[in-house]
Amino acid sequence: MKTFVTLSIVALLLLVSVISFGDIFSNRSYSNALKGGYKIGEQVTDFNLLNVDGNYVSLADYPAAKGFIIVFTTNHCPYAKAYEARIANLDKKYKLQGYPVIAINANSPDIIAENNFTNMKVRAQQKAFTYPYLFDKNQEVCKAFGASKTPHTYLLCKENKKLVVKYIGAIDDNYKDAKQVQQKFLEEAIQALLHGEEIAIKTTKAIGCSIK
Amino acid sequence: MKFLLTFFGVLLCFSCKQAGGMEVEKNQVLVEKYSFSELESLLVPTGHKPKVVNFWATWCTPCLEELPYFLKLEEKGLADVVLVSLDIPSMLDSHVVPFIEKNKIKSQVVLLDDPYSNLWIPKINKNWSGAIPASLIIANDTNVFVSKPFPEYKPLAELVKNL
Repeated sequence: MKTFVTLSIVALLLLVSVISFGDIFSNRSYSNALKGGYKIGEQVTDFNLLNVDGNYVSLADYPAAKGFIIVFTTNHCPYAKAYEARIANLDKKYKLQGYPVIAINANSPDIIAENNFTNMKVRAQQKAFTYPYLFDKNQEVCKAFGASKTPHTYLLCKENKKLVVKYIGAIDDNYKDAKQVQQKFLEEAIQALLHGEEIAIKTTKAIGCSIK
Repeated sequence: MKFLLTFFGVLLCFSCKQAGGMEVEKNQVLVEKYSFSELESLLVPTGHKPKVVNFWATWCTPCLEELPYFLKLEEKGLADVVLVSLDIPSMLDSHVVPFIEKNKIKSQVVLLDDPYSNLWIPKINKNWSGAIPASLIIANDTNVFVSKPFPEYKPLAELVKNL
């Protein structure tokens, strides 16, 4: 028993020291962020989710695609809304080059009704979405990806028929004003893939509405 | 009679002007916009009490659910509380100020107007994804970062008391 307690304390101390290293303010942290989720370079398992047009969509439905821009987004979130036009532009520009946008709403409509499937259809119609807007009803896909907020993007690339994660994070560095953007993280990553170059920035962070 | 009317007219104008002026001043005091470098100056304890910094927004349901716990913490004198709103800056007058007024919030509220969040999020905590709510509890010799909502008042109070 005594050994168990000692071991537990040592394990806890190790955990605390690991998670606290590197930032200027915090030396202890607690989080309910999804543990796991895909990391850069890991293979993604295909999914099958209901689209706003009534059909089920899988990544296997796109045999000609070189990869995908997966965007976890939602109806109610002001940060997600701020990026809607930019997501549409990404789809317009990169679908033709082999990287279509797949948008996924994983928010539970039980918490915010605005995010239910009917309202998803309304939003997609009003904003004339050119890309699928899928409903991750059981939150299985967002958990597999480790998506914690909206918007949260994952760039996937096909390698030997496998889908591999190449970039995780924000679309660009300024949610507030598309004109003030200094770095288009996601586009720079796609461009690198298209040119067969190494992606310079593979992960970024941004404020967003937590997926509930 | 004409003189009296003019007199009252002038008086009315003065009172209008004064009331208008006070309104503007009140709003300025309520919520100020901060850049991240300005916010950094608030991320230190100001007295003997721990500083509790909560990142929230008016549209964030779990944030609003835990907000009363932070207010209670300050009312009980256990900590100095700073509520950092991450509402879109254009929502300040339409959403944030009315919310503060309606709920009679006396704690310090600032709106963090700094879109380059990829640069400042890791400075708060390197493990923070940027999802809110999130809280930073700062004491002289120890700091704690919590990136999940507090389910009730007690765990928050215990955490602050045991620092």
